[in-house]
Amino acid sequence: MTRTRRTAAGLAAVWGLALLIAATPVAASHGLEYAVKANYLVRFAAFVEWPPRVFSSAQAPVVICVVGRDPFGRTLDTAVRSQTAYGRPLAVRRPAAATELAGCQIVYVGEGGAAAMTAAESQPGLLTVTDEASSDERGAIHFVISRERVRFHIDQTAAMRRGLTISSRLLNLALTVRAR
Amino acid sequence: MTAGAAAAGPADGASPAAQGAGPGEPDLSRLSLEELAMVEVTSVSRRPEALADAAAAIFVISGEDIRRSGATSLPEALRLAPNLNVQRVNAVDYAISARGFNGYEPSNKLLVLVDGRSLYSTLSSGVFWDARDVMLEDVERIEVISGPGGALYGSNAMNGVINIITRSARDTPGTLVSVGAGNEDATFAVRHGGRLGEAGAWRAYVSGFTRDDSYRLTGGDATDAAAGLRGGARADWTVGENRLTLQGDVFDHEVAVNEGFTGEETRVSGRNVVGRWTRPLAGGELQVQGYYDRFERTESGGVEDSDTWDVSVQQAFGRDRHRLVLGAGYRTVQSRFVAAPGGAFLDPAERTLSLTHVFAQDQIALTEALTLTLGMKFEDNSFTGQEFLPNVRLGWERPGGDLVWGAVSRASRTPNRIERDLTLPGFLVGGDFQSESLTAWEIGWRARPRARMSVSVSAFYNVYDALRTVSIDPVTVFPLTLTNFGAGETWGVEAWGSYDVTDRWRVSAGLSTLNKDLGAEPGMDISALAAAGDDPEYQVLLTSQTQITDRLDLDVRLRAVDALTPSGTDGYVEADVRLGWRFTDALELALSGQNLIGDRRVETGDPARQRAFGRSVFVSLRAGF
Repeated sequence: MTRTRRTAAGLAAVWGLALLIAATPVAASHGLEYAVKANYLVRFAAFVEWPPRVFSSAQAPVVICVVGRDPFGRTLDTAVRSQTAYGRPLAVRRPAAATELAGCQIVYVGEGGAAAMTAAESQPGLLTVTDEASSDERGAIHFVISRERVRFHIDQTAAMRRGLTISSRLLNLALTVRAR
Repeated sequence: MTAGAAAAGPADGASPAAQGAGPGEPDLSRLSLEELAMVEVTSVSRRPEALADAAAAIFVISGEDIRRSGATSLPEALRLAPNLNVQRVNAVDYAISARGFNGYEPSNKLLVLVDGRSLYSTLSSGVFWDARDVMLEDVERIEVISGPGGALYGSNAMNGVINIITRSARDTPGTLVSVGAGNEDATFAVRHGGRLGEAGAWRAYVSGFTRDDSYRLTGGDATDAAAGLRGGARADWTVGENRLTLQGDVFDHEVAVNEGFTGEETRVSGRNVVGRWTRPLAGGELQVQGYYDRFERTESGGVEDSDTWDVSVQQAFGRDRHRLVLGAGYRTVQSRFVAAPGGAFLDPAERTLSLTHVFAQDQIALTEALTLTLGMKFEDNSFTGQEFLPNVRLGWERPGGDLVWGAVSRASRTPNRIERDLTLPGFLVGGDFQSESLTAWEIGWRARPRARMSVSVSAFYNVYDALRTVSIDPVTVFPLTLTNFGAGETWGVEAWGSYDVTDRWRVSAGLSTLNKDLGAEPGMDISALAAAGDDPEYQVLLTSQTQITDRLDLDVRLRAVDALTPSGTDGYVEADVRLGWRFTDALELALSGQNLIGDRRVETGDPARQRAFGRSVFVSLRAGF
C-alpha cells in the first residue's frame, strides 16, 4: 500500500512538472482533418448540379457558406482559390447568423449552427453539409471519420427535394446513400 | 441501401506530403476526389479513448474485415487479431487471451466489452464465449488492445481489452437478411431498421445458429452440438444537444457441458439493456451510461445466475495543451450459484459484489510532437478493498510522420467467486485469495514507411505477482486453498503491417511472440502453476485480400500457431479462403472454406475438455433492401 501511495505521489509530482512546462498555450496540430474537409467542400461544387435559376448569371460564383463555429480558417479560402466548378469560380462567405443563407449554394454547419438546418428547408438549391464532430442531425452530406479517413454519408432524398442532382462519382464514394 | 464502397486497398501514392505531422498546411488541392478519400487523418474524435490509445498496441478489426473473413461467430472473428491467441475448445467454447495465460480455466486476464457493457464473469473471471455473441453484420469495429487498458477501461483489463462497437442505428436502415449453411454450422440473421423522427433511427434483429458436434481425439462425434437464438434492438436519437442511445438483447443457447463426453445439455440465457447519454458540457463532453445484464446457466451440476447493475460517468474536456478525462462508476453484481448435492459448491451460495472506480487521465501535449499521458485509477471492490492503478504513456510523433511510444502501467485482476468461495468439504475450502497484479513495460513504433504500407511493432515486458496457486494445508495436507504464491515475467513482441501491392490487392501479416518465466514459491503450489496457462511461443498470420473484379472478392488467410507449452499440444498451420460474389449492390453470395489444410487439429491442451476439429465449408447469402 505504501508503495502505491508513493507511486501516486510521484505521479502527481510529474504531473505538476508537466503543468509548468506546458504552461504556454499552443494550437493543436490536427489541421489535416479539416484541410481534407475543406477540399471536399470545394470538390462538392463540381460534382453537384444546381437548378440554373439558383445562379444570377453564368459567371456567378458557387458560394460556400460556413455557419456556426468555423473550423477551417484560412484553409478553406486557400482551397477555394483558383478552383472552378462547371466554369464558375468559388467563393466563401461566413454569414453572421446561421439563418442568413440567401445566396449560398453549399452550407457547412459548424458547432452551434443548427438553426441553419431549419432555415435550409425553405431554400431550394442549398446543399447542406453536416459533420459528425459538431452535430448529429444529418444534412445532404454528413462527414464522418471512418478507419482514420474522412468519409461521408449522402442523403440523396434530401438533396433531390431541393432540386440538386448528385453525380454518381460522388455517390460511389459515400459510405452509405439514403435514396428512399 | 449501402452504395458499393470504393475498391479494397487505397489508390496510388496519395500525397505523402499531406501525412506529415508537422505544422504548416498540406497542399491537397491537386488530389482527386477518390484520393482525398484515402488521406489518413488523426481523428480529433470526441471519444477520449481514441486519443489515449494511439500510444498503445491496438489492432482494429473493421466490420468489412469481418465480412470478408467468413467468420460466423464472434470468437472466430477475433482470430483476425494477431495479438490474440484464440483456442477453440469444443463446438461452442473458446479460450481467448492476449500475451499468455490462455486456456479454458486460466484465461482470466482479458476485459471484453460490447458497447461499454462488460462480458466479464464474476464467477470465473473469464468470458463465456458459448453464451456471448453479437450479430456480426452490425459490428462497426472491434478494437483489440493488448496490454493493460489504461485508466479509461474498467477493472480487470490486465492483459488486454477487446472493445466491440456496434454500428449506430443510423447506419443500418432498411432490411438485411443473411442466411448461411455449411458442413459444420448454419446461421441466419434478419434485421430491419428505420428512422425515428428527424434525427433518430432504430433497428431490431433476430439471429440464430446451429452447430454440429466436434470430434473426439480418438475419432467419432463429441456429442457437443449446440444451437441458439438471439434478438435485440437499438435506437439512437438526439434531443437538442443530447445524444441518446438505448439498446438491448435477449439470448437463449442450448450447448453441451464441456467436460467429459456426457453430451449432457446445458442452457445459457440472458438479457441486457444499455442506455447511454452524451452531451457537450464545460467545453468538452459528458457521457453517462447505465446497463443491466442478466445471465443464467442451467446444467445438472448447478444453476448459476447473476444480475449486474452498472452506472458510469465520464467527462472529457480540454484546455490549452491538456485533454483531461475524469470518470467514476459503480457496479453491483448479485451472483448466485446453486450446486447439485455431492459436488463442490460456493459458500455462500449467493453473494452481492460491488465495484467502484474513479479515474483521471490527462493527455498533455508537452511539445507539438511529444505527448505525455498520465492516468490514475482507483478501485474499490468487495473482495480485496482498494487498489491504486497508475499508468504513464509517452508518445513521440517524429518528423517523418511515424510514432514512437512507451508506457508503464500497473494493472490488477480482482478475485472471482470461484477463487474465494469454492468449497468441497475435506478437499477444498474457500480462502483469502488476493488480487493478482502486473507491472507492464511496453514500447512501440507505428509508421507508414510508404503511402501503400503501414507497420506497427510493439514489445512488452510484464512483471506479474500474486498469481494463483493451489496450496496444501501445512499440517493436514487437505483441505487445499487457492493462494497467491505465483510470480514471474513474460516478454514478447507483437507486429503487424499491411501493404497494398496494387489498387486491388492488399497483403497483411501479423506476428506475436511470447516467452514466459513464471513460477511459484517452492512448496507452495501443487498445481504446477496451472494458472500460467498453456500458450504458443509464436503465432503468425498472413492475409491476402483481392478485388478480382468489381463484384468478386477473394480473401485467403494463413495462420501458423506454435505448439503449446506446457501441454505439448501440437502446433498447426491452417488456411481459410472466402470468395464473395456481389450479384447486385443488394445481394451477395459467399463461399468460404475454413481450416482447409489439416484433417484434424486440436487447439487447446486441457485434457478433459479438448476436442478435435476438421475442415469446414460454408455458403452464405446476404440480401439488403
